[in-house]
Amino acid sequence: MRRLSRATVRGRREDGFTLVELMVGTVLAMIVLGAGVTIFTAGIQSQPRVNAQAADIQQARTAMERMVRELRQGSSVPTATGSMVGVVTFVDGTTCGTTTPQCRVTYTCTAGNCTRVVARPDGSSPGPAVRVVSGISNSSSVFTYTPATATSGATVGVTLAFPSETGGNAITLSDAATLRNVTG
Amino acid sequence: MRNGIRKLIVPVRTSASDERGFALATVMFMTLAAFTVVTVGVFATIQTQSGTVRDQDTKAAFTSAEAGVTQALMRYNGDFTPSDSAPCLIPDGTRIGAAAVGSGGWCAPVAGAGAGNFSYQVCPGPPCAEEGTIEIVGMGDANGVTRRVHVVANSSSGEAIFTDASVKTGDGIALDANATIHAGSATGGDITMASNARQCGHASVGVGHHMATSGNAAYYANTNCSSQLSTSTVGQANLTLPPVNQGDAPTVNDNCRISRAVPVADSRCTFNTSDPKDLISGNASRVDWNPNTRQLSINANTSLTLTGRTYSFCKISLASNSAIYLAAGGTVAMYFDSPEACGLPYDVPSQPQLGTTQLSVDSNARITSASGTPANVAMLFVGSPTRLTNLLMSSNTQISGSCVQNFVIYAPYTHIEMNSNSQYCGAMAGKSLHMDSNAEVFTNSLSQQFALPGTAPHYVASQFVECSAESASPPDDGC
Repeated sequence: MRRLSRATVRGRREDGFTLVELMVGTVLAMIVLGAGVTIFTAGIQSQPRVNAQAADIQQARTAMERMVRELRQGSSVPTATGSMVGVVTFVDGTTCGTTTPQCRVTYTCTAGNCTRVVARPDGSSPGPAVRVVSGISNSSSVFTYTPATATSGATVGVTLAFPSETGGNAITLSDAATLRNVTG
Repeated sequence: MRNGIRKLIVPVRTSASDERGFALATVMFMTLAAFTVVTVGVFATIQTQSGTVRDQDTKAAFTSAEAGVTQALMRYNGDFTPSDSAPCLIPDGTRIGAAAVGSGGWCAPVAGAGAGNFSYQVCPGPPCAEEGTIEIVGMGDANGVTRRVHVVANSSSGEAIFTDASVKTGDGIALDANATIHAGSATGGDITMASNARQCGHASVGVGHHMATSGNAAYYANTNCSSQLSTSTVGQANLTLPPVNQGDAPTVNDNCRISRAVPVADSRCTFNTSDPKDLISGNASRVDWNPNTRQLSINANTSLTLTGRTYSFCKISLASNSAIYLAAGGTVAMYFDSPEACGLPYDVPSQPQLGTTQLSVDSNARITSASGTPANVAMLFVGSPTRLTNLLMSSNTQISGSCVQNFVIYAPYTHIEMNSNSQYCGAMAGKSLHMDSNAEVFTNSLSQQFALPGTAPHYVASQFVECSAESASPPDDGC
């Protein structure tokens, strides 16, 4: 009898939510759900752009490694500006039609893209321009060339900046190489 | 009043104590949402970081590979004179010993010592490397990422490096105002000629560099300035001039002969009447010789005849019809020590880029053989990779003017300046060469065959290539 009385009391105490509780809970749930849906929708909408930028960055990583490697084993820098650098470097000589293992490789960056052209060491007979980097926001200031001095070797810096959704640079890849084969 | 306050507090307290189940569900839901967001972020960050980690490993592996090459160069430059039967340097734990080559002429792999995970393998000469060169393949590893680099290093010791061209410079050759080179030339930079200057003999420039002419300057096929060529036919090739290894010349030399001839007090020398000494013609007081600073200055119609075989100088100045004569028939090596070892100041302290002059020949002065008979003379400038040094010839001066001596100037870090009707005959190599005002360079066949002194080789890297494959056989395959 006493046990039944306790159950009755408990049942009376757990007597469901009040109207206020339900309303507050519903409002909170709607806020949370709304935020979730908004984030999800924004994520879905931005996914292609994010994927494209991720692909650009991955492509830039590969290109950066190749650029720095070719610069590192370069023997001279005939041309160098912020948007372009030409380096006579060790690549497969047959790609530029010479018997020596060296060709002139020129990287040029304009309108968000960088291209690579292989020519003979004197710059003649250039091959087709191959796009190696896309989607950068600093086309005019990709390369920084520091000629050799009495105490340090020639150095080329490479910076690839990718824009954020709201402007500015979201991700910046930066590297530099001292040209090991530069003699003067 | 008290009842009024109680009426306000009780409902709030009751409401708070009645939040059963609702708070728990909300908190769990919020926790789950937060956890999901954080997890997504963590995965995205890990994915991004993996690329960065790989980049770091790549650089670490590359740096380790270069460390291997550096360690190999340091060991082979440690005054080690290789023998034909045991040209390899292999450490055995306590010392470094000479060993024979293995398959294909390559030495056994050597694991790196010290920090980093690297190894290197050396080809000490033919058949896997050219005479006078060694090839080194360094391999580095960082967390499973490997990189290999291949370096070719040259030494000038004992090498006849003028067989293909008698005038060589690392950085470039500039000819102005009727200056003429009657010899084959090679440079790692450009050749520029102006104002009737002439390059007579085949020439080559550095890869990607040019020969440029203006003002009736011309390029000829033959040393007698016949058969004009187009400047576009000039060859292109890399050129490296290895540094001079002077060995023990700064301390073991014939400088005492000068001290006895002047004479001047020199604690390193004996002054017995039977000791050999050099010869001074003219007024001996016009020969200034400091055996401590190794600076020699000769003035006003005075000459010094060198009778020894090895001399070590810091600076020589010749002026006013003075001369240095070389004893006929001998072979003389005149070493010019580095500006740092000599403690020489810059010519213009406020302009260090102008460097330090170590040989100045002016006002009809000359360096030649005593009687015009053949002599073998090598003027070897150690120089400095960080401080420019100069060799100046001007005002009707001559070095080996009669062109019967086998003269060699080898100065890989020194700028050579020839002006005002100066003449040189022989073979020369410098960092750069500028000729002006009717200056002329001639050559003869014997000087082209002249081999530099065979001191212990000092190798300097002349070609660097990053290899494409992770490992290969032979070791330089894929480089």
